[in-house]
Amino acid sequence: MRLWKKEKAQDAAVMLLLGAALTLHCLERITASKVKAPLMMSPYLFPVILGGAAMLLGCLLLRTAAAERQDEAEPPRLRLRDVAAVLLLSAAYDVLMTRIGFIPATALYLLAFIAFLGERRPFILIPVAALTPLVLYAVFKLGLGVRMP
Amino acid sequence: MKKLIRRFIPVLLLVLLTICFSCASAEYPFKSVTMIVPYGAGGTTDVVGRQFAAALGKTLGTTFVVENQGGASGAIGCQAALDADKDGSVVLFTAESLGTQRVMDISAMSYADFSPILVVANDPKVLVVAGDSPYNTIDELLSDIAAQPYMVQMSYTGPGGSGHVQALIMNQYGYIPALTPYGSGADCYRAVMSGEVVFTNSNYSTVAELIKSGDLKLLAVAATERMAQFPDVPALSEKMENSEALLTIPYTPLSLLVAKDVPQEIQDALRAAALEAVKDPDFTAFMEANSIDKLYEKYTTLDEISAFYGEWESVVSWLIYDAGAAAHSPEEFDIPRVR
Amino acid sequence: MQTISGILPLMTNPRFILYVMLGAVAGLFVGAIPGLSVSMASALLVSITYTWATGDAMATIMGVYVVGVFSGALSAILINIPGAPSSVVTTLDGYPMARRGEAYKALRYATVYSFVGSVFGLLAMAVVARPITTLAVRFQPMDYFLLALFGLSTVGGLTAKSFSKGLFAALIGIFFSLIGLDPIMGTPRLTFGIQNLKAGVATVPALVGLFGFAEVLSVVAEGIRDGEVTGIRQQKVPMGEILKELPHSLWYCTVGTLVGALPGAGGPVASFLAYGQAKRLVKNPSRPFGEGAYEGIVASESANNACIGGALIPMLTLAIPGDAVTAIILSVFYVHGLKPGPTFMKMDVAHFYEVLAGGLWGCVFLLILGLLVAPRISRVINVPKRVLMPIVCVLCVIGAYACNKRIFDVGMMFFFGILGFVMRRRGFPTAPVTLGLVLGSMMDANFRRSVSLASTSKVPLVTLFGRPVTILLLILTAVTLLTNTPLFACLKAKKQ
Repeated sequence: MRLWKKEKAQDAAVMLLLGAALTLHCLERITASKVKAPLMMSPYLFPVILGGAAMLLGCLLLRTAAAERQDEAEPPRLRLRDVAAVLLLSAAYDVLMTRIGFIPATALYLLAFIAFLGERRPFILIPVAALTPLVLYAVFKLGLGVRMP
Repeated sequence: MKKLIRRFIPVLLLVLLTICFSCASAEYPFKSVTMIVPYGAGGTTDVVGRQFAAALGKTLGTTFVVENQGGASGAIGCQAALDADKDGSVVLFTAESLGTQRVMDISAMSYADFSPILVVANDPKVLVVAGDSPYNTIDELLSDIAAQPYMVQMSYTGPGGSGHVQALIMNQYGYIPALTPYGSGADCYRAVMSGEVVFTNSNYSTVAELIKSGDLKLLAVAATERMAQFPDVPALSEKMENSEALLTIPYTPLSLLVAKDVPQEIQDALRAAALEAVKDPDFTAFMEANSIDKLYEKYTTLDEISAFYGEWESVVSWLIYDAGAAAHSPEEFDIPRVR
Repeated sequence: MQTISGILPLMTNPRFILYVMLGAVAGLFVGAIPGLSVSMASALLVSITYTWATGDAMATIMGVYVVGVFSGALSAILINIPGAPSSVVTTLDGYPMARRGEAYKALRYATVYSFVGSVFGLLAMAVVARPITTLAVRFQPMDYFLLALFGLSTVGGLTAKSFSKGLFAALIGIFFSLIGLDPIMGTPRLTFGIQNLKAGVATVPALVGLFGFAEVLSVVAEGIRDGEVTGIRQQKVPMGEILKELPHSLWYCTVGTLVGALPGAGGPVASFLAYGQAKRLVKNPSRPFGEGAYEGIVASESANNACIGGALIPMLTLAIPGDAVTAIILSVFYVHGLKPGPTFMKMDVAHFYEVLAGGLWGCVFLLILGLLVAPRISRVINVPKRVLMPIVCVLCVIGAYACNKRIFDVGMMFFFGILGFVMRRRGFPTAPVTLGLVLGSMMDANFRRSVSLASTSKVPLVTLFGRPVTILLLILTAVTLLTNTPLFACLKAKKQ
């Protein structure tokens, strides 16, 4: 139960911080702006309101966090390392796509990704990795006229 | 599973085959050329661009695929055209915003980064009020604006846009309307019809039907000459003394451009094709049906086009800067003050 | 009567029907693939159909439009990735249903009520276009602002257990929508010096990231157990039972058509508002909303498809497009030499009938394709997740890329994916983010526009709030905000 409260308080703190950062950034911009405009018409008026609202909501959440008494089940352990691996893989894919083109990059990515998720049978791996990019390329490039990298 | 693979093999072969065929390179003009329109679909630039693309395609014997890449006042599409392969496979069809992007702090691009192929069209600007408006002539409207500066509401398409420029020109002659920016040309005349604002400055082709039906009243043409189909509607230059010089400039020049580094022979081929394409009967019929100015008749040589861009950039940049709407001074980019 | 005799020859013209079918099939695939939007497909069609006869072009585009809007629900229900912003609300109940093995049932409901919504909207277009136009024109900037605020105020309590978290998610969406060129001053803001951000945050990559990529990350984080598939039960759902929701659906359709007719609001707002209505109207849903209640799907799908007819109204009568697709249809009209405007429905009546007949046939194909394809396509779920997830990733990437052809958008998609993943872990709902993203910049621009208009008026407050529409919206928004806030809940608790 303590854990739950802490989580909520953390969330509230993040909301407060983000709101404050946005408000400060925009107030700074308002004073620095070269284009003349009254405050009600300033491009940064709305972001300031937004920041204020975020802080208000943070406070509200903080209040409920303090009043919270319920017990919540502990969330299941997350495989954050796997998530990081997927992200790295995807980032590499993003870079590769511009370097070696869509089809080879996608094939490699699929191969690596599916293998990473534990599929080892080659008669699934290879057709999926080979066909998906080709079919997608055909659909997008030839069917829809999208210029592919 | 094996059955599945066997079923896939023909598909695979077919796909490979098509890809091989589509990759087979050819002499310019290619099988298909992409025309980037850096604005959303349905606007004047898009509609004229599509008509022109069709005419160009016919002359060159290729397909011109129009691609709308809107955003950031056209900066995104223009940037895409600059970043594309420099082989003429991508051309740009854009309105005036290239001339103001630097002073508005939108991008570092200007007309100087592109080579003009042809200045195609200008959609005439007209002043309209709502059908039930108390104003019936431009004189009534102008005298009210003069009597109450900053009180008569006008909608326009946003800072740096052609509607804004028109309003700033009116300012120069002592007519100062209260300006409210809207998202699009359609939004501007919607605001007139709903009574939020008194008048706006629209592209004629977009409001022609509403004028016909009486939902909008046409008060004046923002030009130096009256329109052929409305001989009774005055041109704005008649009402504002010595305004000819400012009002003869077409403020929404729609042009065909390519990135500067595209080889000269491709530029020449495109220009020859473009000059041929404007003679296409379908295209001419379209231009005439919508009363769009044929700028290709006004600026015939590349030198004239460059001179026109220079003048346009200078006049508009300084107008906007003097009104306090620009983020940078035109001086920072060595744009001379012509007048 | 005249209308019926007008569209009858078209309704029975096999060539016309064939073109609608062509469009419908294309729309089905385009809409169902995340990231491929209906507006993209219709933009492409404009180029292809340039040389066709107007009737053929209209038929194809209406087929794509009607079926494409519906088929966004397919991927929303099956893999939790809405094909378009207007299908976001469908994921709220559709995906939980699919996870319980009721994908087939969910798809049946989605199909039938998309059909109902589309037909309703189109008929409204045919019958009451003029009054709706008059109403839509009355809406001034302040009203648009209030409408958006109203939409957002319902969202806080709609999708999250915690009101603050739901509203905060909407704020995040608004924040991202403000990035880019400020619509009023025309200068960049909140771009933090990144050139590519000057175009703003594109909706589709954000959507694909928040739902699609975040879903993949969640699955990976929870660990994929070998061979785990969500079972699918081929339940028989009698049509009679499905049709029980019809009375409510008609109300959602009305909401959808009206919101659709307001330029700029469109599908996402309509479906959120309808979902809010559903929560109030349906006292005893089959399951709590958000955990797999088919009533939620009914609301969302009726409303977003009813938007089609609504969005066409201002396009036809005033040449003001109601959404991205109608903007493209407008372009088709111009390219084919047609002039939409107040006289269009009288003067160019033949082309008006083409739009109407194309739309109605589109509805029929929606029903046929939906009922035929749904059971087959729902087998997608049977693909093992370790194969499906990587393919979904590739689809996310290509979808993010295809809408603007920018690698930058792929990066944005990954960013939103991580954001969505983190938000989900901490109990923030992601659906309000999309609504904020769609509405934020419109709220901001319209608020300042109305201030600008009022600042030169002699009686600013009357100009701002003095009209009946505004007062009504103001009261509605105030009531929703107040009844949804914790403050009100406290008061209520104290009274008891």
